Amino acid sequence: MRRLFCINLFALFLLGVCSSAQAMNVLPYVISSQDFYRAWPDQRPLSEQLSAVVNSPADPINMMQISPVRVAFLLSGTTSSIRNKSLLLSFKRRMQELGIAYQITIYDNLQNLQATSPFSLIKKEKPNYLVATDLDVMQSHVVERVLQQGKTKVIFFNLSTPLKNWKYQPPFMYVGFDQLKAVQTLASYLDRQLPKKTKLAALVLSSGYMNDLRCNGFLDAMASRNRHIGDVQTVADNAEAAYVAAQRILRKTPDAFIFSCTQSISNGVVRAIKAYHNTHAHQMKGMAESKTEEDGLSSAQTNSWGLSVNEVDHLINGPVMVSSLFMWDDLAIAVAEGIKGDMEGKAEPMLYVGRTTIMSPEQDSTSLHLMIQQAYRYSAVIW
Amino acid sequence: MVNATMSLERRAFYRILALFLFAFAVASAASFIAFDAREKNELQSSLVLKKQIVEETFEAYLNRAEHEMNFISQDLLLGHYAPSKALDMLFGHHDLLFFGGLDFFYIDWANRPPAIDPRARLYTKDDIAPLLRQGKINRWVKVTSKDGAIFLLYKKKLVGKEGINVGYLYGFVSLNENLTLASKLLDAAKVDMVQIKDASTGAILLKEKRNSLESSSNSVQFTSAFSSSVYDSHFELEVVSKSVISSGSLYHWGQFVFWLFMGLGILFVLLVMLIRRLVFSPLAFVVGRTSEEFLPFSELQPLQVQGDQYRQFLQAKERRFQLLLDSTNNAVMFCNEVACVDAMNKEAMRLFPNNHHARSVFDFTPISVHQAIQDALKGEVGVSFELTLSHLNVIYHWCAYSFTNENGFRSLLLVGRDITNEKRLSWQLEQLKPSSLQLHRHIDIDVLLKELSLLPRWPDNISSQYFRGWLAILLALLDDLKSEETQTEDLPIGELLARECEWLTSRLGVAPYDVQVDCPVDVGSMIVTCDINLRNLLRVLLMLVVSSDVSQRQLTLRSGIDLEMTIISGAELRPFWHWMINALLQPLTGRQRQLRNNAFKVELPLTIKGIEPGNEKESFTVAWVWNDYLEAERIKDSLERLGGQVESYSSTDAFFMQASAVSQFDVVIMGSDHDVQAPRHMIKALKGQQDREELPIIWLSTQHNEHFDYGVLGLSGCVSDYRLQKVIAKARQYEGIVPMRLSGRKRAWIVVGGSRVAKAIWYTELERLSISSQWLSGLEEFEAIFPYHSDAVVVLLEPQPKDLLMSVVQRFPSIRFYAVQNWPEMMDNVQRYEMYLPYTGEQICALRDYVQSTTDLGAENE
Repeated sequence: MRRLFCINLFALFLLGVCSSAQAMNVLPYVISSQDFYRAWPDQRPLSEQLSAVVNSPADPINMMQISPVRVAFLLSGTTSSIRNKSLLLSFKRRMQELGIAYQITIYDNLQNLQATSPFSLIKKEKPNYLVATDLDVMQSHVVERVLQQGKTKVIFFNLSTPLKNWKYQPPFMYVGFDQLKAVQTLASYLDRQLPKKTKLAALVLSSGYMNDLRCNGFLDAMASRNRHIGDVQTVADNAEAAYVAAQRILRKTPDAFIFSCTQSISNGVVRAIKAYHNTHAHQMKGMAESKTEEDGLSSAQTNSWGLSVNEVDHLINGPVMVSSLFMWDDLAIAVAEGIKGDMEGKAEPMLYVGRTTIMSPEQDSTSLHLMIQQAYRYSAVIW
Repeated sequence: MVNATMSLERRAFYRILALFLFAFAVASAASFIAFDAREKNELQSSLVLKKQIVEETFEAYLNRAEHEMNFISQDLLLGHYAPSKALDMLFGHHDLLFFGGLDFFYIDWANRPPAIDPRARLYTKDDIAPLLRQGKINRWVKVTSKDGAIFLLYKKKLVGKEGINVGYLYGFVSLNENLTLASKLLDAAKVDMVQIKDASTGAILLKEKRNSLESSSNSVQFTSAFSSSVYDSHFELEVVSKSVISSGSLYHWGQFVFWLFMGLGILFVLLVMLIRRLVFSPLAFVVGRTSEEFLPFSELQPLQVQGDQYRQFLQAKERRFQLLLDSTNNAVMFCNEVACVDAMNKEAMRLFPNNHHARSVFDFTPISVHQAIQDALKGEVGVSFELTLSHLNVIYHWCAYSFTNENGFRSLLLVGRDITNEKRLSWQLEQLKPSSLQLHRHIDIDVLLKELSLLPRWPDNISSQYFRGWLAILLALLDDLKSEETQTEDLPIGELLARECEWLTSRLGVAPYDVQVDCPVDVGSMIVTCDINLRNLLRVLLMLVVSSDVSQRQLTLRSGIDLEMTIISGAELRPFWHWMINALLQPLTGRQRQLRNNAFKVELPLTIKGIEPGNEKESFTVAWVWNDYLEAERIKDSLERLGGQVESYSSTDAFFMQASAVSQFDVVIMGSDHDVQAPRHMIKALKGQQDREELPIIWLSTQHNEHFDYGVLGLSGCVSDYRLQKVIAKARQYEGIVPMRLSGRKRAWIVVGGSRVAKAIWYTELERLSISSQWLSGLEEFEAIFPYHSDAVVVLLEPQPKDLLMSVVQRFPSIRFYAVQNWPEMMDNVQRYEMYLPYTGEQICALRDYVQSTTDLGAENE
């Protein structure tokens, strides 16, 4: 019961239900990947081994299946969302390449399931594996009961920080990206690239997992580099709120670098910068001509998270200065490979951390496209 | 040599007991260690839990600090304080905001100067700003200032209206100087020491211990990784708790020890019983068994076999011994320590047929032999006795031998030899042999020759008369030994002794005083039957006294049960005299004994025929004028023993010159050796003065004298108390001599001072004038002389001290002083009669006349 309470509490944090701007920190409840490998050093070789498998072409399974493996997906939102479609597509492709007969059951829009609880359905279906994509209230409730039952192996998707309270009855696998490391890489790049006099601003979330890891991580990383971010504003995780906030910042400092904590915020900031440039083109031109490199940016810029449709265009033509690219399909591949390894009786790591990289304007378009293609090797068609 | 015995059983049990006690001690110690170890293990296990408590307390402390930061940040955001008043306002309601979690804080405003909590200076002097860069939003981070202050830093966004960040609030919690945190950790976990260390650098971040924890005390330590919410922290937690054995553990240990003791005790008792039954009981059976039964124990069978062999050996010896006993003709009896008969041979059984009914040997033997048997039982050696068994008409000579039996007690062996025929034959022989052929009377030629061989060694000053007398006496003694003279006479011992003494001294030619005899009156008065043996015995004893070289040589006679005659001689009695005395004692049934210091005693059982009368002891006054008698002191002692009040005078003149305080002399004894004139004159003077012929005067002389010619009693030869008493008794038959009748004498003259020549002249002249005189060198001795001459004439030949003269005059007013020369300060009572040297008889005679005239004149005036 105590464990259920913690999970629910954690779910509330992830949703950002807290009304106050001073939300509770979730980081004490999770274990960073470094701490995880420090506590379980035998997991690191397994993770590295899985990473090699993920990066390698699929090796079909060498066992006879009596029946198709049943995999259930708990999706956040609808199945038609790009993220969910990308996950499913990548997973299916990999499973096919692995020659694994599978049967997928998808549970989405869980908030709208009123008649039957997802757990009952799952219990009825008895899937071999359950992939949870989000630790909201609904999903956490289902996952808790499934874990207690112990018959279905649970895979947390897009979560690279194992829960401390689950360390004695952990799920089968965590697959995700090290957000803190990604944002520290981003901060390091920006510290090198941005002139010292560059005015910095940041649009961050108010609370939640992403806020604690990515947004606050960026703020701390820049502060440790003695980069003062003069204007920090919390916004909702949508483009519209970011657009409004960015406009305010641009009115004050039209040449600031605005950090966007999420892709949605980045989309709003990009739109705002473009709009500002359009309306203040003359001013922007004069500013660009009067400034030297040491004086800071000539115009406002922001960052992206590799999920924009016009990612490459924004990078090359602005106003995106840098983009953190996550190898999204690697996560789905890791899930498939994990299932395969488990079916073959091999030891599989409990944590798989996907790769992230930086895309910058220094790279040409072709390279950028290649990088994006690599990140979405199976689901690029969706994008 | 007595060997100490020990009990094998007891020794074994003591060893086993010691082993059990050792095992108990070891087990108790081991159990105590085990309890202590268990206590420590439990403590160690509890420390694991306490480690978690420490972690939770630590997290709770940090949470409280976070809450404090929340309140401070809310107050900052909602208070809208003026920029410079923010801190003041915060501290204004510190009781609401400050919980004591944060040590200090720092407000980094986005558009204002920062505000720093003044409490920061209490912890570090270093600039805070560089530390802020290490802060992480909503995370605790460990930072260290340049001056070594270690903090946990918490960074919090200050989000204002419309979500705009207005700054950051930094909260600091000290680690290395946070007593509150350290105490909370100690109290929460209830440990004695807590230490948080950076595992990567080894630096001690926080350490606190209780005073009660000593470095050397018994403690349990637990170290493990310390998980906390501090970002990227690799902490190590060490908790130490003092290990003290709780009262509960002690109680359980005590219970264990008690039950252990009970268990071991029961085991010991069972073991002892088992050993006793299985080992020592068979051993006891082996030792005490009487039958041929063998025990089925292989270890004891050799012992049993050996015991049987010994038993058979002893039985064979017993049989041989019994055969030996029965084969001898002697009667043999063995008795134990209480005189019970252990064994008798057939001969003894024949002699004592009723021994079966007797309890001890005393029951069937006559009473006359009981003492001898008892002496033998006490250990006397050489006990023997003769026993006449009238019912068998036999005489047996029994010898008793004591020995130690197998039990360590003295037992008795009686061996009886039939001497009936021997006795009969000896009786017959005795009847046939004359008494003169008594073997003991035969002269031992060897001892005689040995004695005669000593003659050439006599000193040269021995007179021929002594030599001849000695030989004559020796031959007479030997002759008398074979004599069959049976003549006896009844005489007092003292009389007999005196006669033999005179006989001996006359034969040997020695002075009577060479034979000193101590014969008290009571002994000398005893009338005994004197035969030749007694007489010769006395002669032999007196000879031994004479021939002795010691100064105290004398023959001492005493009477008790027997007459005891003791001689102290200078050497041990020579064999001849020993034989001679034995030969003389044999018919007298006496015995001799050698005493210490070369003295020997002869004891004679004499039959006292009576006591000579007239020798009763009475007190009397005697004047002893010893003149040249050699043994004056001995005579004086003897007179005192006889009850006399003795007045001693060195000469007759002294007797007459010295006035005596005694009113009457019962006896006057004169002594003389060679000087016979003085006694004669004294006799004449006394007869003249007393005007009678019969006076109680005794002339004691060492020489045989003609005292009878002078009408006085005489005593010569060996003087003993007895002889002296006899003569004194005779003298006292006469009327005593009164010194007062001597008052008709002339005044004595005392001459004082002068040379020897003057003394001789005066003495001669005064002698010629029939004036008794005395010479004094000075008046210092007047007290010794003048009491006897209280009216003397004192002639002063030299000046005398005045004070002396005064003293004499005061004491003796009748004394007249005449000085023959003048000196200054001469007293008035000294009459001066001048005389010139050399003094002549005419001058002395003239002085005499002058003195006489002045004396008569004085008498007329009176």
